Amino acid sequence: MDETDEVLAQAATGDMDAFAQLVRRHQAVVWSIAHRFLRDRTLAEEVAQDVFLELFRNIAAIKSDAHLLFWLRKVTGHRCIDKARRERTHLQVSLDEVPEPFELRTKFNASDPLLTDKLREAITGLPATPRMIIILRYQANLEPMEIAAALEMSVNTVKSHLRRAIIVLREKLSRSIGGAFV
Amino acid sequence: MNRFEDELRIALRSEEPPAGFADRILERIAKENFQVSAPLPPRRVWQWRFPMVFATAAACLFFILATTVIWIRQQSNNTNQTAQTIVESNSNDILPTVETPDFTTEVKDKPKEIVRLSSPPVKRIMKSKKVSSIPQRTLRKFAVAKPDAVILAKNNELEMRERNKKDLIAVLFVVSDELKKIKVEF
Repeated sequence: MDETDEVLAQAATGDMDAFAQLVRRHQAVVWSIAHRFLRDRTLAEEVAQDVFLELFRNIAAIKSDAHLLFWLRKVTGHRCIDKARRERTHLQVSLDEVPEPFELRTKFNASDPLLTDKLREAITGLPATPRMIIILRYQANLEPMEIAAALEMSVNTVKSHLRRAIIVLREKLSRSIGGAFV
Repeated sequence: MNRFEDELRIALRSEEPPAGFADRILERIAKENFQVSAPLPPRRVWQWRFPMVFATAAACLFFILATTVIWIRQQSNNTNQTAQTIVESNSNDILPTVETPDFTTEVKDKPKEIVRLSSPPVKRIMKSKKVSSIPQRTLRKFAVAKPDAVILAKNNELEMRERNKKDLIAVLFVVSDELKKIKVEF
């Protein structure tokens, strides 16, 4: 039994310290999916907290670290899609999503910050399911088969959503920046 | 991997939650008094298969019973219609030469010979003609061809005054041309 399994076993007995360790280890995964999907810090925090509360209730059913990661992505994906359908958040962008200053962005990557913003806007405009598929594919680096398992749909559906979403994003981006984007 | 996919990865890069995120979760757990629930025992295969198999078997049984009942009723209706048709054709103007026999007395004199339409000799004829049943109009022709032979067709049986079953089969041969034309049976 490795360290993670021990922490899981301890958390399953109701050990809060062990559970806190698990939360800190995986909070970025849950938060990133929720935030990139909802583009609203308040809603993202709400969803992420609910996911970890559900994890606390069901921690005894988690078998391993890989299972935990899969479970978190699956529950976060479903909760985000439900939330988006209820709140129709893809039509809104909250004030805390105002673009960051250029200098802060360039620390992380060499990409054009304007392009990144336009791309995020375009992603937010996608319907809930393809938006979540795009996030799981390009943020969590999941294969279509893993996405299909997490969102409980067929691999072909995932591939078709992915293909169509990329075409839509390319078109939107080309329109907004002017000219084709390869 | 192309530039567009790289841009997607950059736009969707992972990020840390706001400070105190984990503490707020732990506070909420303590405040709302959440409990760890015991894991559910794994369901055995028969636990979820049994209801499905049972439901399928029940549906099949119901279908077979319903089909059988409908088939029996149809057969009964058809036979009654056939009997009625034959009796009518024996007595109406189409067959002026045929007199309705007074079988109340005749039957006493000559013992009735009953040939079932499902009997092997009749079936053999039907098989040779590639038909599965004899329709009403054929039975009517049968009555025309051999009016004396037929007293009544009832419950899928033909009653004859002649003792010899061969006579009935011969009559069936007479109308066998009609059988050739039949494609749809009742």
